[in-house]
Amino acid sequence: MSDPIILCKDVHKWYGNFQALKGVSMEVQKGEVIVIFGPSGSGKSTFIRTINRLEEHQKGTIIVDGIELTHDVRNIAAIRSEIGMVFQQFNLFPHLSVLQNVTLAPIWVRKWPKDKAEQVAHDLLERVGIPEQAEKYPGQLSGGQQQRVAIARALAMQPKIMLFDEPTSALDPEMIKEVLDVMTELAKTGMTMLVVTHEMSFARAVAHRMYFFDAGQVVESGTPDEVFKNPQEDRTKLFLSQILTH
Amino acid sequence: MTAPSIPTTEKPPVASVGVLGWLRQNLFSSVANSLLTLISAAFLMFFGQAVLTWAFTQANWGAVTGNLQVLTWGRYPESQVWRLGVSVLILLVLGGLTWWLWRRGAESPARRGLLFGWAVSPVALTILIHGITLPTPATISNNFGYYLFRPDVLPLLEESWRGGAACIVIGLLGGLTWGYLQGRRRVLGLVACGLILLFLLPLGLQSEPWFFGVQVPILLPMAIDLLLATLVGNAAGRSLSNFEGLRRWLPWIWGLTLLLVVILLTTFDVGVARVAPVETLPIVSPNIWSGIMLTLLLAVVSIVASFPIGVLLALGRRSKLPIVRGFCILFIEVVRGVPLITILFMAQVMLPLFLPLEISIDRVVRAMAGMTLFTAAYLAEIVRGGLQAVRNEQVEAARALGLSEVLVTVLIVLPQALRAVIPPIMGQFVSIFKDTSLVAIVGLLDLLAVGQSVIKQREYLGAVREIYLFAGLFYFVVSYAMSVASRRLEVQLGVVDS
Amino acid sequence: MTETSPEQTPKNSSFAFLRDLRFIQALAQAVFVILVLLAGRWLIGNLLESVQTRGLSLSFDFFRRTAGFVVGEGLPMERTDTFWYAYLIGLYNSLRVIGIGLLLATVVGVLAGIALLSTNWLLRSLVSIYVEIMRNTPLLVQLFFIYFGIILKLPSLQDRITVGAFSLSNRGFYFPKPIPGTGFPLWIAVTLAAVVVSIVLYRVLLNRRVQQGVETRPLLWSGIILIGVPAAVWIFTPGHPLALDYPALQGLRMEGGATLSPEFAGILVGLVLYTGAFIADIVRAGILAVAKGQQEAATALGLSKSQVLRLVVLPQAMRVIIPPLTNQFLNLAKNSSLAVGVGYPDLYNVSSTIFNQSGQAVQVISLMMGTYLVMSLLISAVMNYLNSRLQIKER
Repeated sequence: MSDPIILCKDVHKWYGNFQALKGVSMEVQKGEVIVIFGPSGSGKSTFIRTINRLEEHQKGTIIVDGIELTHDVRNIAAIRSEIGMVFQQFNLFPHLSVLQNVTLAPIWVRKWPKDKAEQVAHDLLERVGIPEQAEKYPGQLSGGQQQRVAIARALAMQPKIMLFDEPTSALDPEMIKEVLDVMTELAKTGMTMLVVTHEMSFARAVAHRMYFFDAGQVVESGTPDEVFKNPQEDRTKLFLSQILTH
Repeated sequence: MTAPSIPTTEKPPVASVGVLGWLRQNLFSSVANSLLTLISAAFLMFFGQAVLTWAFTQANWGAVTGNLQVLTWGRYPESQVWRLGVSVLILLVLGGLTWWLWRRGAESPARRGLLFGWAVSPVALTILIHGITLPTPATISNNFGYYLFRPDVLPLLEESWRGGAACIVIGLLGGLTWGYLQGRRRVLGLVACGLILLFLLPLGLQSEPWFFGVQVPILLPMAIDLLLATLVGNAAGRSLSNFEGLRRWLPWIWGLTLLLVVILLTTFDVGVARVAPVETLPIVSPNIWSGIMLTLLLAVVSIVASFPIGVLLALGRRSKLPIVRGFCILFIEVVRGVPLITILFMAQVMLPLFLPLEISIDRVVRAMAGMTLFTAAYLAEIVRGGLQAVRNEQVEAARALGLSEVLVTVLIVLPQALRAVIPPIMGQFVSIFKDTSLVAIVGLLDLLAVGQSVIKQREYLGAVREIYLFAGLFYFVVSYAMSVASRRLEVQLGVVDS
Repeated sequence: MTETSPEQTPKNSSFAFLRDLRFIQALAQAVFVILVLLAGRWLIGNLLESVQTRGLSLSFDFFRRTAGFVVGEGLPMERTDTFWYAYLIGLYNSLRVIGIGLLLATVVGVLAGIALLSTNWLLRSLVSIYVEIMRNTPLLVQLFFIYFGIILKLPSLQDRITVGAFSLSNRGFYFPKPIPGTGFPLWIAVTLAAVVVSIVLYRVLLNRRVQQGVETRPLLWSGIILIGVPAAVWIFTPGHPLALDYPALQGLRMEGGATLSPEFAGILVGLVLYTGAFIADIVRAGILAVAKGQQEAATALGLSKSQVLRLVVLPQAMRVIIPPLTNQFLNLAKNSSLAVGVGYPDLYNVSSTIFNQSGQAVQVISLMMGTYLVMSLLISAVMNYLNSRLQIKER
């Protein structure tokens, strides 16, 4: 078994006096799809945001692809270039067209020439199913389309890891499927993914492992089969009963 | 039983539609309203009649018409006024082209040319309006000789600063080339710069007083200038490294910069008429600039120069570094808390005290500095509002993509922030344009001051109202036009952002 | 695609701290501070040199020297008084103009703002023309026009316009001056007491009406107290509380009475008309900002038009109005410095004269700017307090 691509050991994070993460440890192998779930305020989003330094962890170690995440700006930049992130609120740049949104980072960070960036962008837009929207502006697209553009934008940087922070929570129900389909296809190509979500159908279909978070800690983890059919902890059982039977 | 007949549409009562209806609704809808109408109408007629009688019978409009020239360009030499016309023409052409290209939204190569035009325009316009002294070939050959054979003369003539200035220019150019190009090409650029610098070495070996009166070889300040400029140029070159188009411009940039260095180094007068630099475009000293020309110039320069400073102040005010933030807050609050006239007064009277005795800047330039600082502080507050309107998630998404903090600010935050506050910014610009009238109080000859001097002439002694009405009309027309343009701009941008 | 394996990890060498984010931030601040200090040192060095060369100083002692000039109006002054006294007169004059100006401008602004919302087209158009003219021409031009073009063109003292005891000429506006007599202190004390009592009575009666549903006519009774008591005391006191000193022409001057100088009138009228226009727009926007539904709901409840305005619309409008109103008040205070254009000896004008007489640029300018800053801060503080009292409590 090779080294994990993400290694988190005993990660703590405080916001002032409030402790959001209380010693979270996790190992992710290359190509694994991890689903993280739990009640709101449990620290799931905070946790994945510490991995690409959108939040700073005060204690513990995070190592991504062999690079340790510290205050070192070069390490941070290197790690961020290997991780793509998709947000709950899409966060597309409203003043740029869809194409410009996708090509922005490759041109300015990877310093690709414009033609190459646009070619890659068109391919990605095709892959997520909306090649014809390239010249439109984010405000003219539906939520599902915007999120798919966001996925394409993250993929344009050719990351090794994709983080998803509740990608479908802000979508109208009829658009959730189109985004989940893209994510499923991505998982099948072998991308390492950490997904915070409530979509248990997705977890069942694609996840290699699931982690249940509550109050800043990992309460339980296992394969989807193990977690759904045989949850060990009471809190896990309680939470599953709340979200699976409505 | 017969079915009820379908009612035919009738016409509304005469007194509720058309002219009569409008009159009734808007002017006479109630007793109180009718009374108001009568009072207002009486006031209007009394006042209007007085004004019109005065305007057509008693007013001496000759005060305005006879003095149009001096009101417009003041004491600018008549033979050189064509230069002002050309400047206005250049601005109109650039502005018109920009508006036209904006409407078409084209990504045409014309855009590059236009950008170049705007970048060059400040220099071109300054040269046109101020005039320029250029070296003749005789001047060049004569003065170059000093650098090589008699470098000791240069400090005596107080021209040794040209060495440092040249180092800055060369450093920028060399740094830019090094940062932008790869491999052999950039070494070539470095070698070229080195050769030029070698030429300046004899000057560098002279010594002159520097900080605290200590005698240092000029090499020291030159080396520092060179180093800093190279670093800046390098950073610029690297950040622009994926702009393919720049590659074609590079030879042109080199050519122009070398020309600039030659002019910079050789344009001084040694007292020999034959080799003195000539006034290619006769110099019109800024203290002669007056009238509407000065008003417009002050407004344009303040607006353009205050914009980058204001944006930087706004960014600094939101910085996480406490010292930077404190400094910016202090500056902004002090400038905004005092009247503009005190800032102008300070600029006229105190600014020269803060500069070395040898340097003197013209009163007009001092006023420009004062107005620029004033506008920058107000702009900073407006831009700050715009910065606050950009959601934090936008910044996070940009950071997650790996963009550096500078790029995040320039590519994502600023475009959104500025777009959000265009109306208040335009309002501020209108305000600045009107505020240029205050320079009349500190002794500059803008439109208002020239008007005052016209009134003092014997033949137009009493023509106070005519002159000030003319001035008021001028300001009104330009301000109103700017406001209208700003509203149309809002509408247009609103469409694009939907 | 960049491939990094553990061997290619960025090395944690001894120079790694250079890339530490916290170090970079600290370094950036340090560099900034050094640059500011260097610039400051250069500027101060030049300043000291310039001051020395011109034979000036940087101390404020010179303010105790004899002024050598007289401030035109405000408080009586001799040539032998100090610079400091002159400065204080200038400050007093500025405060006079600002105080009265703020009051009048608000009145004008509110009236004009309401007029802008009137259903009468003629009134609306006339007022909006006034607002547009004020907003698109510089204040200084307006001041010059008002002062040089209107006030100075009024009839001379000989041909002055007279209405009863009031007269208007190009040398000023003359009116009778009230002089306190023997009964004045008593009357003033009684009047003040009456004011306080009437306010308290109003609130008590209003409260009782609200609590018990009994009609107590608070406005009537407090009105009676407010007006009746002072009037009664006035009529029945033995010594006349106030006498009037009438102005009369003596030779080439007016003696007695009180005067409003043309300069004061010029800057006051100019400031009030200019700022009033901006306030009008703010008031209009504020009232429009109160959703129409509020008015409709209130009317449906049976409230009269004035009650709707007073109880529902204005309180909500005030919240929208106060921040930009604060801005306009600050502008008025700062714009008062343009009084120099019409020759009114306000703070800026006097400071400028002090500078001309003494040459002490740094001290005069610092004092002047400091004074304006304090004024701005005071006005902001008061308005912010008002604003916070009016905030709607939200979730």
